[in-house]
Amino acid sequence: MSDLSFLPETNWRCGKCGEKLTPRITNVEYLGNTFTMELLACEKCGLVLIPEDLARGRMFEVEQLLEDK
Amino acid sequence: MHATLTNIPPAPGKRAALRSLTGGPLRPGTIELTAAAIRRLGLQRGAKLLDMGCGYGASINMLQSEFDLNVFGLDIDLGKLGDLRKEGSGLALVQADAGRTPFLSRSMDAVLCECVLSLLGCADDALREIARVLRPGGFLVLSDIYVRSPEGRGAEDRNQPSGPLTCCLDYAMDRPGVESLLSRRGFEVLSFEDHTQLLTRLAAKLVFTFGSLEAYWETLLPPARAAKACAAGERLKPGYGVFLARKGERHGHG
Repeated sequence: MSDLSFLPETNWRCGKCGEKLTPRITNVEYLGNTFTMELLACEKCGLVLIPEDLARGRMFEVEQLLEDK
Repeated sequence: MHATLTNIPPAPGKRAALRSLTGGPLRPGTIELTAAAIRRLGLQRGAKLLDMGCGYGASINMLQSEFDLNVFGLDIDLGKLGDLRKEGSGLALVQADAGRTPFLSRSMDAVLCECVLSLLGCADDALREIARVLRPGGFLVLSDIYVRSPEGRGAEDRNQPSGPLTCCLDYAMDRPGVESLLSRRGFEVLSFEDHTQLLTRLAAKLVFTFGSLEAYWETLLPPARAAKACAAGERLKPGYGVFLARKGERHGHG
């Protein structure tokens, strides 16, 4: 799973500390399941950006699966 | 939605992507799960085991290296056997239908059957054949998709055409159905372990990789069949489990 990468083209900076966002291998956990993927994260504080299409698309469908709906 | 598997060989590039999801064959169970089931059988070194539906041979390699068994691999897909042959020399591989194998009656100490019966329109034929090749008291390890909501099976799911466009939900049975077939063929069910969580995790991986389960299915099936597979997954709530069974002493079958 670590070969999955969700890096939107963006010039956004961290909303918390204003630093640049850079790709980072991140563990995403839900209901005891961990998925590893590359996401943009703040170089300074580590805040991770989850793109909206990922949250509303793949992540939403995975949540439904894990909730056994 | 729920993941289901198919026996269709995808295009080479997609096949590699699919295999990378599970470190080998596209199936919910891990190699550790298979090893744990085999360990419970207490087989002697050199015992004869038939891997029915061996595919790319992930289990064969483990069975030989970890348990030192005399393993025979059988699959209907000549392409998979060819790939397996290239990877290891000296493997005893046979291309045959699960319902009609060339092995002698009562010649095997154990049979491993992973994610096979749900792809067959004739699971009973395969179980009859397994019962034939097993020695009395021999073991069967059966891991497969099973249906958790059989009431969701509609008329549209019945009488699916057999052949290359088969997905495992076409023929997956519920747990009592599997146990009934096993009993009919002279097996005593020793245990059943539910590992539906592994199927769910595989489905999640497919969603992350392909964007949705429907998109995954569309890599393997025509769009109409892909949509049907998705809908069937929602209705039937597939689970995944491992049966351990033993052939009765009095069922010789030749």
